[in-house]
Order: sequence, then structure tokens, then C-alpha cells
Amino acid sequence: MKFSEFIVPAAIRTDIKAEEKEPAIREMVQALVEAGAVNPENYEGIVKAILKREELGSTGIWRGIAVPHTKHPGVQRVVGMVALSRTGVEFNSLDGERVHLFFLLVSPPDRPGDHLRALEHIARQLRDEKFTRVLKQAQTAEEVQQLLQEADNGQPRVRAKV
Amino acid sequence: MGPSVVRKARISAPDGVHLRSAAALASAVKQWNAEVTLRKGEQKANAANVLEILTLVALEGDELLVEATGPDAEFAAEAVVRLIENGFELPSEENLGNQASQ
Repeated sequence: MKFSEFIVPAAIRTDIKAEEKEPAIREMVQALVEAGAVNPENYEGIVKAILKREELGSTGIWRGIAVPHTKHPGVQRVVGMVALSRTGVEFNSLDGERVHLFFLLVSPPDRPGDHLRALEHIARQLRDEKFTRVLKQAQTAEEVQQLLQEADNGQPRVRAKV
Repeated sequence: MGPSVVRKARISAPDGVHLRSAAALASAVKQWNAEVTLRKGEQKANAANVLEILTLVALEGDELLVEATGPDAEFAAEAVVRLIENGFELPSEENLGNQASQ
């Protein structure tokens, strides 16, 4: 599943302010609400569900990158956003690093395959160090969106060997 | 090079191999002195690498081939097969969203 099929462009944020886990997740879910991808009445439920999921084990799994996520009946398809933090967020990551790049996902409970296909695409791209490095340096939502598009299309700029 | 072990395992978890189960698999593999590869059809993944495991998109009912080499190959393969067939022995995420929204 390509980024363009689940990342909501209007929810991309390149400078989240929070430095702790819960406020950072609130900022990111709020971005999905503001983009119209999540109903405001589901905001609190989704935040709490993501926090509960984090209690089972941090999703900060890879070199300053985290993939907070949950299932929630309030969405009909996988919706996601990308967020960058300049200062880094304390996220109890497995490697102890602060998180600078987030992919946040909310998936419908009855479609586990779609969640896995979104995760697969993220995981596949994150293995490309140049992609993650350039993405972390993006300054605007448009730049992020362009990099995601290039990754979707397998273009050389982001897929070239470092 | 130690013995080579090949085992089959069918995914029993209804949600397939998601992030948490991939992390559980990778940390189980790292406890042993063995290299473990997971195969799903033509695709393969280093079982000690969470990102590689996720690229398999292993769904409930899928059959994985577990290939282990190294001195602890038997133990590593057994640990991986057991995890896969027991649904990763993780607490369920089912209904987290429903509970939280009530």
C-alpha cells in the first residue's frame, strides 16, 4: 500500500512542539482531525488507544523513528500522517534515542491486512537510510509529500545508495 | 557453520505479524547464536530484523518457512515456530480502540 493511499497530506507536520510522548501523540492526532481525516468526537478515544498500545511496547523501534498506531472503529480505511520533531520526542524507544520522525496510523479494526500493508510500505522505505535522512531534513509539508511520492514511485533520488 | 534447520509454521494470530509480533520474533531470535531467515513464497526476511519481517506482510493462515543456521539453530527455529504458532504469546490489542472510546 503506497503512502499516497494512507498518508493524509493536510495532516503532515514538520515541526511538532511536544517533547514527551502523550502531548506529541495529541498533536499528531489533532493534525488528523484538522485535516478532516478523523472525526473530532473520536479524538480522545484514538489518543487513548494509541497510548494504550504504547504501554504494550514502544513503537519507537528504529533510529529515531516511531510508528504509533491503533485500530479504531471511527475510521473506514487506514489513515496516517507524518510528523517531524526538531528537538526530538522522548518516546521510550527501544534504542533509547529521541524520536525525530513519526508515521502515525489509525486503522479500521476489521481490516488487519490493510494495517500490515501500510506497515510493510513504511518498513520497506525506512530500510533506505538516504530516504529517512532526507525525510528528517524536510522543512515543509510539501517537501515531505514530494519525498513520499518519490518513494511511492521508486524514483532514484530517494532510492539511490548512500 | 552449525546445522541447518528448516521448519514450517502457520500464522495463527488473527492480526498477522504486526509490529509488536515482529519485535517479539526478532528479540527471540537474538537470544540464540543462530541466523534465522523467514520465507513467505519468494520473499525472505532476516528474522532478527523487525523492518525486514514487516515487509513479508504475513497474514493469518500464511505459511512461513523458518530456516536457521548456526550452533543454536535448533533452539532458535523451535523458538520462532512456537511464537508463530502460538500467536506470539502477546496480550491482545483487540478492542483497544473500542474500550478507549467508551
